[in-house]
Amino acid sequence: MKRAQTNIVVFVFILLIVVGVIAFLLSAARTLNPVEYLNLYAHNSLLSVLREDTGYTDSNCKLVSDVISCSFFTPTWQCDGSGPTCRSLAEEKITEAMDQFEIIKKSYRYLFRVEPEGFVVKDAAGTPFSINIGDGTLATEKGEKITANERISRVSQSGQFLLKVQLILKKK
Amino acid sequence: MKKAQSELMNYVFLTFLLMVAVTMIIIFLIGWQVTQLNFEKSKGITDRALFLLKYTTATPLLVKDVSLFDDRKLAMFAVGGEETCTKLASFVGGGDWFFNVTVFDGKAPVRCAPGEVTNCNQWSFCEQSGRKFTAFALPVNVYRTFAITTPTDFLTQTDLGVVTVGVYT
Amino acid sequence: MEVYELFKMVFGLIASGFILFFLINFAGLYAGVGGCTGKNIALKNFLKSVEDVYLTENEIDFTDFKRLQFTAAFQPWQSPPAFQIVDDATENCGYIRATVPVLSKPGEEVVIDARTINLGWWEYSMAIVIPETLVVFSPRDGNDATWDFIRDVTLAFPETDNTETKVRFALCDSGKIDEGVCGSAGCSAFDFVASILPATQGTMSGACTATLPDNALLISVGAICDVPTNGICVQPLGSNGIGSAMIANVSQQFTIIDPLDVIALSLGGDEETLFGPQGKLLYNYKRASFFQELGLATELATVRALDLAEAIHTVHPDHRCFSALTSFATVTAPLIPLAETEGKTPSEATALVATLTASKNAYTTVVDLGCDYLFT
Repeated sequence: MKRAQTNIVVFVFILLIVVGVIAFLLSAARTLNPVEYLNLYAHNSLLSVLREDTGYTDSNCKLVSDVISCSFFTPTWQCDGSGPTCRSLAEEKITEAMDQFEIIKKSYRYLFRVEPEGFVVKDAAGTPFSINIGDGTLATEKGEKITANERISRVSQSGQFLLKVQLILKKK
Repeated sequence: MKKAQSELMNYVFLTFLLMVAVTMIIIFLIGWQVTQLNFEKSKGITDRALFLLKYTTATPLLVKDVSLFDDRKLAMFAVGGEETCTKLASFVGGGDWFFNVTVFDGKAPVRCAPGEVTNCNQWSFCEQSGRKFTAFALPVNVYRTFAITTPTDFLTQTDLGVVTVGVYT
Repeated sequence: MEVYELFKMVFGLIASGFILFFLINFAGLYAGVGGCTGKNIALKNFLKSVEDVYLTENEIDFTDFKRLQFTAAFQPWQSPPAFQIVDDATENCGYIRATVPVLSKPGEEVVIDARTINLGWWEYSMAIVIPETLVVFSPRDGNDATWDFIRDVTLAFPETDNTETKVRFALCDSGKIDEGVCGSAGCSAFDFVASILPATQGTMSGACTATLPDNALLISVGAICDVPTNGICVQPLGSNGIGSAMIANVSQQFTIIDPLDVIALSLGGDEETLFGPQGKLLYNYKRASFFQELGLATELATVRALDLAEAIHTVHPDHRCFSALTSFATVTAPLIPLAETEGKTPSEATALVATLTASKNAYTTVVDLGCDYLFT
């Protein structure tokens, strides 16, 4: 009888401690970085990179968005006649920008992806062509990712073409 | 007799332990409420900082387009100093907050003096030293006028930068 | 009964009483706090929604108040203004400070939208919070100015085709309210504006004497306005760009320079508060907010224009943007002292409107010369 009573008291104490710890952990588990901020960060990262001036005055290479468009359609075009090719300049500028953003938010892997929208482009091997700068595995990796999307358009004699530019971020 | 005394003490002891358990539950609940209130307070500060971040990147007083700051608009804020700071703060609910725009140009940060736009890359407003704050930062663009001057014209340039907005606690 | 059994009963009663006392005390306290906590959280969510709409200008419904059965009364006399929780409880649940310019009428279900006054070189935004409402216009004459003004004011209200909470528009002539002006009952802003033509309505001039529903706002519009008995009466903007308005049962005349002034007066109406009619308080608040921002924007814009003009002149003396920017600065600078008057009297309002118009025109010249990329 006494042993049973002692057991009940001990049981009540343990239950209290367990419930208290669970409740405390649940209340402390709310994230410090709001989802809204992370989405804003991803969108601004993408937008600010696209709007940046490259320093070249050639109309194919003036802004990073121009260079991305150029690297999709005419990747070997040399900026300002003797400068880097569109493809290499796009890679350089995007990598540089994402490195600079490390100051703001550390420990994020990124993938910059450019795909055609409304039309199909295939490479020599016949597979759909897209430009990927950064960690290519992010496209198919599962887990919590933050994505931002923008569109850039290119007008040529053949008409207007839309490119979908996507920035995918994932914590390291 | 002894058995009765022992049963009595047992009973009293059991009741006492139960009372202690109930009191601990009450104290725990009160403590939890306090934690929740503190959490709500810090969430309030976080929400405020986020709103001010979105506001500074959208107000035509500072930007040409959303998240595209104009360096001359930023310079005009520096001209106005603390009074301009206080006025801008009053439009969005007052309080102590600061914002800072820095350009990523590979150079060391140089604060822009009032009216100065060409040889500097950082604008800071309403900053108070020695105070704790909660801040958020976002990548942005800064539109630089007179980035390049030619014999016939002057050119503008859009640079990459970061805006940091913080609320003092 | 043994003494021991008696002791157990008495001790048990005392211990139970002690436990019950604490539990009831705590539950009573917590229930009160818990109830207010829920309402305060709803109020914070409401403020966040208002902030988001202010920044994005994307209209939304907000219905959290209905679940908790309270409304948020806007107190524009506070500095900064505040939303106060209004419910059936005796205790005061609290308030929250408004963080953006807003005009609000309380309701359990509201629609939140934003409106902008665009000067070209600067724009001023204001959020509008309004519950299910029927806006009834009573045109007092057939003048074009009257009907044009009715259209302008209608478009200043939220367009609610895509929201649950509706703001509908109707016309009133003497004892009759016509809610089917657009061909179906309950006209939205766009449908109402597209449908009202003086020729089809005929000449309406009778003061609205119809019985209005509880959620109606009556706006009488005409060249002649007396103190109305219901709603507000507005004289449309004249050739000098100003009009005037009066609130029911209030003898003061209010100068009108844009449709938001009318929104402010009509949302508040003659509802009495400790500090006077709510319509007057909302109007004063809107004016103060607009002109304070205008003052700062003008200061920054004129100094910047001159600074830019000087820099251009140093490098390229004949550049086309130099004279455009200098003229703009010269024409706009007088807005700084004028903004401090807030255009309360007709003469101050006339001077303000004339300077705002001149400033807009000077800015158009800046744009025409292709200099706005430097300035805007």
